[in-house]
Amino acid sequence: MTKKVLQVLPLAILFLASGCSTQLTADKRFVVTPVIDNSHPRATLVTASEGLVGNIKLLNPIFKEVGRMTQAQVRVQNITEYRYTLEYKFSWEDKQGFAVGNNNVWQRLTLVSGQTQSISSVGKTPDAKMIIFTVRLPDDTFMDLERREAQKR
Amino acid sequence: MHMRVFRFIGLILFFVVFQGCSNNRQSFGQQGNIAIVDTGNRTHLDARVLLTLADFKAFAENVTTKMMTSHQVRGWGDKRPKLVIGNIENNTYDDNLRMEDMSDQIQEIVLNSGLARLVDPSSLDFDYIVKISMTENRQSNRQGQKLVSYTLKFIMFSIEGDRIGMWTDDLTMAKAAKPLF
Repeated sequence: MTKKVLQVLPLAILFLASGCSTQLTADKRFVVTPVIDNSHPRATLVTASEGLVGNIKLLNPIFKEVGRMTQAQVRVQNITEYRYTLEYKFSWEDKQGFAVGNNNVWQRLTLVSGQTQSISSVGKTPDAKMIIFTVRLPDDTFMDLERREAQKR
Repeated sequence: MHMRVFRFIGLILFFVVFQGCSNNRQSFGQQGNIAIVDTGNRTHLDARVLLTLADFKAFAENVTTKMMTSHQVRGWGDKRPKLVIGNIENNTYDDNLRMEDMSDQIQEIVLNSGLARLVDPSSLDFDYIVKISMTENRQSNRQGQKLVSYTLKFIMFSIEGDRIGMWTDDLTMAKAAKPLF
C-alpha cells in the first residue's frame, strides 16, 4: 500500500504543479481564455467582465470595404432575462497586428432581455484590417476605488 | 501510520500548490492619491452635466464614421478632394464648451484617413465644405433628475452650394440623485 502511495504521490505533485506552469507565449497573438474568442481570422472578441461570460454573447463578426476603409460589425446578444448596461470598444490593427488609430473611446449600450444589437466601426486608416472588440460592464478609476473601499469595509 | 503521514503531506501539498494558482482579483497601478487613467473612459464627475474630452472623441468618431461610410463620400475613391472642416457652431446652453477640441478630433480622423485634403476655412479653393453645429436639449424635474441631450450635426455642401449629405450623432446623459451604476 505504502509503495503504491509512493509511486502515485510524485505524479500527483507533477499534475498539480503543471497547472501553475508558465508557458512561453511570445509567438502567440493571444493566450486563449474563456473570455476571448479568436475563432474568426480577423476578429478577436473579448468579454472583459467576469459577470458577462455566458450572459452576453458576441456573434458573427463581418467585414466589408467602404471606399478605401474597412468596416466591421459585431452582434451583441443578451441571452439573460435581465437588463444590461454595457460599454464596448473597437480597436483596429493592420494585417501584421500593429495597432492603428488608437483614438477610440468606450461607448455605452443597453440591452434588454433577449435583445440583439449590431454594432459597427470603420477603421480610420486604409491599413486597418482586423479588430479587437471588447465588451465590459461600465467601469472607470473611481468605480474601481469605490469597489476597493467597499472590500476593505 | 505511513498512510496518515502521506495523507497529511498530500493535503499540505494540495493547498500549497493551489494557493499559488489562486487569483485574488486585485487590480494594480495605483500611485498615492493620483492615478493616470485610461483616456477612453467615460468618467463624469461634475454635478452639472458636462461633456468631457472622451465625449468629444466619441462624437468625432461616430459622426466621421457615418460620413466616411456614406455613399457620397465612398464615391470619392482615390480622388482626395479638397475639404474644408468649418468651425463648430455652439448652439448649446454652455458657452464654455471647447469646440476647438472637438474640431481637432474631427480633423485628426479625416486627415489620418487620407480621405480628403484638408484646407483652411479661409481658403477659397476647395471642393466640399462641412458645416458643423452642436445643439442641446434639457429636461429636469423637481427631484433634481436631469436629462441632457447633445446632438452633433455635419452638413456637407459642394462648392456650388448643393447640400451633399447630412450626418448626426446624439449623446444623452442622465443625472440622478444617486450613482446610476
